[in-house]
Amino acid sequence: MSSSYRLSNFASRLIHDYDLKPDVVLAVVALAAFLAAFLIYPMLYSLREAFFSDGEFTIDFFMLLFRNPAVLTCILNSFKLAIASTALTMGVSMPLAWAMIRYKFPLQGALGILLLMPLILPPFVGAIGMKQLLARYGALNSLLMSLGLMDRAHPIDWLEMGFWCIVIVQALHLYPIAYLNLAAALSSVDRTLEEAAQSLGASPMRRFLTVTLPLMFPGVFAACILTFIFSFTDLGTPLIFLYTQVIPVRIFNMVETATEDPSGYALIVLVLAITSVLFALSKRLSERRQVAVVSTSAVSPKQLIGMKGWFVTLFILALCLIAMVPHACVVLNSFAKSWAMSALPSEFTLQHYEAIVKHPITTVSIRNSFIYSLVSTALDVVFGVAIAYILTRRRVPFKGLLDIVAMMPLAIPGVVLAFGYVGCYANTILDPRVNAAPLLIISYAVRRMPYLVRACYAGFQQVSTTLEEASMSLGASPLRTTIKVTLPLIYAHITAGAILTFAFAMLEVSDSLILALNPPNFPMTKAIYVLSRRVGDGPRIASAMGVIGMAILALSLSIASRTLGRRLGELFKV
Amino acid sequence: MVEVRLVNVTKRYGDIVAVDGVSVTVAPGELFFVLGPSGCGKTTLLRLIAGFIDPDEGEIWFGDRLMNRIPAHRRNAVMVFQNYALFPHMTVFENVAYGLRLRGLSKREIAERVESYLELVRMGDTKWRYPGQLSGGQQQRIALARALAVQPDVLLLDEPLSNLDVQLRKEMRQELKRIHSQTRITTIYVTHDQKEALAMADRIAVMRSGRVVQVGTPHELYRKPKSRYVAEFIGDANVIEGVVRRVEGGVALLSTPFCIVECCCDDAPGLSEGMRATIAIRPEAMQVVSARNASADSQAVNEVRAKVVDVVYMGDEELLELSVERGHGKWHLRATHTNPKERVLIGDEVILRFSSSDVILIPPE
Repeated sequence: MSSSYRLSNFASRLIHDYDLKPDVVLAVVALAAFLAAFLIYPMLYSLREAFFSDGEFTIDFFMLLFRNPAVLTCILNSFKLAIASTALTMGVSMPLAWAMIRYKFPLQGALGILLLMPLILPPFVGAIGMKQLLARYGALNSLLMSLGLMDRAHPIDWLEMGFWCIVIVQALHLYPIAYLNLAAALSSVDRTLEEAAQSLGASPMRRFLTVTLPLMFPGVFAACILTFIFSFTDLGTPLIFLYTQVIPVRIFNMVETATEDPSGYALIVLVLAITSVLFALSKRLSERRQVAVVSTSAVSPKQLIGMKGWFVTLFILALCLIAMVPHACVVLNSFAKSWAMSALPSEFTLQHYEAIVKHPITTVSIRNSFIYSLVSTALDVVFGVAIAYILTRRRVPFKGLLDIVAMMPLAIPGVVLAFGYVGCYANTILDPRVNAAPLLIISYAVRRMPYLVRACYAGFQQVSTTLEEASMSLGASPLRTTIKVTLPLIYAHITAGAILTFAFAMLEVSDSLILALNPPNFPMTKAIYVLSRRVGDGPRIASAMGVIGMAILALSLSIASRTLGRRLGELFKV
Repeated sequence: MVEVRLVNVTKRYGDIVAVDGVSVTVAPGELFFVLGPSGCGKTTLLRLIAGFIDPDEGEIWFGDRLMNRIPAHRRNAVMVFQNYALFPHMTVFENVAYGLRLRGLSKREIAERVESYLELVRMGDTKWRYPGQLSGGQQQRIALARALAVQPDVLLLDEPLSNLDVQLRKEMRQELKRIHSQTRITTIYVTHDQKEALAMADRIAVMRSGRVVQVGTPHELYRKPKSRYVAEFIGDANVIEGVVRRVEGGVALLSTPFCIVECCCDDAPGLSEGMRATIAIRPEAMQVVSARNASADSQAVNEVRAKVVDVVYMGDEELLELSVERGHGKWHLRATHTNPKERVLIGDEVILRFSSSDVILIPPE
């Protein structure tokens, strides 16, 4: 009797405290079902496989992992790699952010755009170009030999130093994202605080260490975590440089035996634990210490005049050029008839592009990538708008949970999600070994969803609810109001988010390498990878594919930045 | 105690001259105000003294030390900011200790000094809190303690009370006065609030579009403004144009459009018959008499008959807007009717009287 009373009490609370219209309920249920099936379930599945053997709890698989010296080497290497990449990335982006925010110098606007260029190339494609550059008889050695700086009989094999090659390629790819985060953190530091420190007697260095850096800390930490996680879970670059003793490559090699060997799940759970902890930490930090300080000091960036200004310009320009070396190598490689023993290709040709048109794998993969990316983007737009709408405009139960789950993919590396998919959907209708297309689309959609949710969330927050109330008081239903008033107002946010989602799906690496198991399902990245391993002109055709990818991504980004104006950087921030 | 001397200091931003040939001397231990409307260059002047920016021309002296090109952190001139600029990542203790640590004091000395300065601003019990947990008034006190703790040569205050509510502002005025009289640090205080300046300053420099137009004690500025600008900016004033009719024995008689004005002209030796002259009369110097109880003499001296256009009743006083019509001309006057016992109504006729010692003779510009 009392329980039925309680139940009816609960029901009446649901009706009174929340607005549970049928359409909202339906949307929430559909979202929850999708996220449960393709985000929560694969993670739980991996956890179960890692901790349970024949229905009994066990940590044997982890013990097995830690007793295996090969695995330990991988873990150690992955940490070393991630730390080195993070250090180099921060070392490059911090002075960059400082120069761009605190000073004015010639060509600053153009450099600001040029700096972001490395984003358009996934590092593993750049790695193919770098390999060409750094091979024993590659371009760099040939240049050094012809300049008489290297003994022709004993060329250095740079690729032996695969570790540092990866670090450099990753850092050159990641510094724009780190730079955007640091620049945002730096520009939010109240300048009067620095002046206060200065007038109390702090020297510029002391002021930076005791005031500026601590105030920037959440942003710095976020940038570090982002770089660290990317490098720690990057599959493509180590694969190309044949640096196989790292965790992602090991996971990749375990896909074949995923269904039999549970120690793969233990490794997955380990990676997930590391990335989740780091991610949660950076989130905690960025939420704490949000002190609202109203800055009244209109301190403008300092104009660097004469030589000083041009020195900074040249420094940044040089960095941009270095960052684009991998791109340049890929482009050159794609047009090279032969490129060995010389600094530049000796002969140019279009045959690799012709090969793309003729070859079944390449054409199919381009078509596949377009289809996968379009469908996954469409899914993301629907989910992004729906989730952002519910979060900003509706009172529903478990809203906080929805928010957390929708943002969770940020903390889940591609290798982890893809591996989970392979395991938990084996022998079902979605089995990637039969047809990888559905899971590829879903994995793209799930991993990029937070970006669209965030873009739409920002849009909804900017649209004043009074506009919607005005529409409704004029007689429009809530749904009609959303379609006729709200969505058109946040159109730019949605478009930019969608274009970025599309672009990144086109060049997504880890899900693609792991999930696409049959050539008819290959997306571009997998085709590039497979081609790059083929002897002969394989790497050249792969480079030509890379150039096409770059072109698509560059075009998408420029359209996105035009739609969104100067706020493009916001989409890359944690 | 240090004297601060500015000699012909100029600062330009592109075509805009923010500070234009300013020369002032602030006496050691003085509480010196820089007063002016927003955009007059007063904050730029303060930042020049602090060393955040360098002057394009001129010299800044602390005592016998030329401060040009010496960076802010070596000037020992500490600034208190309008938004307090307390370090949000440090406790109150750490904020106040910040400057002391830079000066290499021992741990014990620092603890003692922080304690005593927090005591001075009456915030001894907030040591371990973060600035975000304090109210605006409390943050203001901590910012002051942080600045004073390093025992600066010069204390620079940039509109320190402008973010506080009226009641707190009045309290803090008293506090600042008390603290200044205890520490006797040469203090330069920038504000746009003339009441604040009059209530607290030893001397005030009034600024207008980058220039200092007058320097003087509050009493001098109020009683003897040297320009119409100062007369109107500090307090309120009825400014009237007239022609000098007679000068005799330190007393001048002027004819104005609506009455004859008698005033003292000891300070204006150049005054002679036939000259145009500008006078100013403070609204509170006007005595308001109901026209029913007094007959107005059209030839009376320092007496005007006017019609009430608007009344703002404030309790302790009434602010009256009045109009005077003579022929085709119409003039507006303001008067403050202190301690009003009978209400004056819109449309009433009143007679305004003022004493000749209350008439301010403004020198020609």
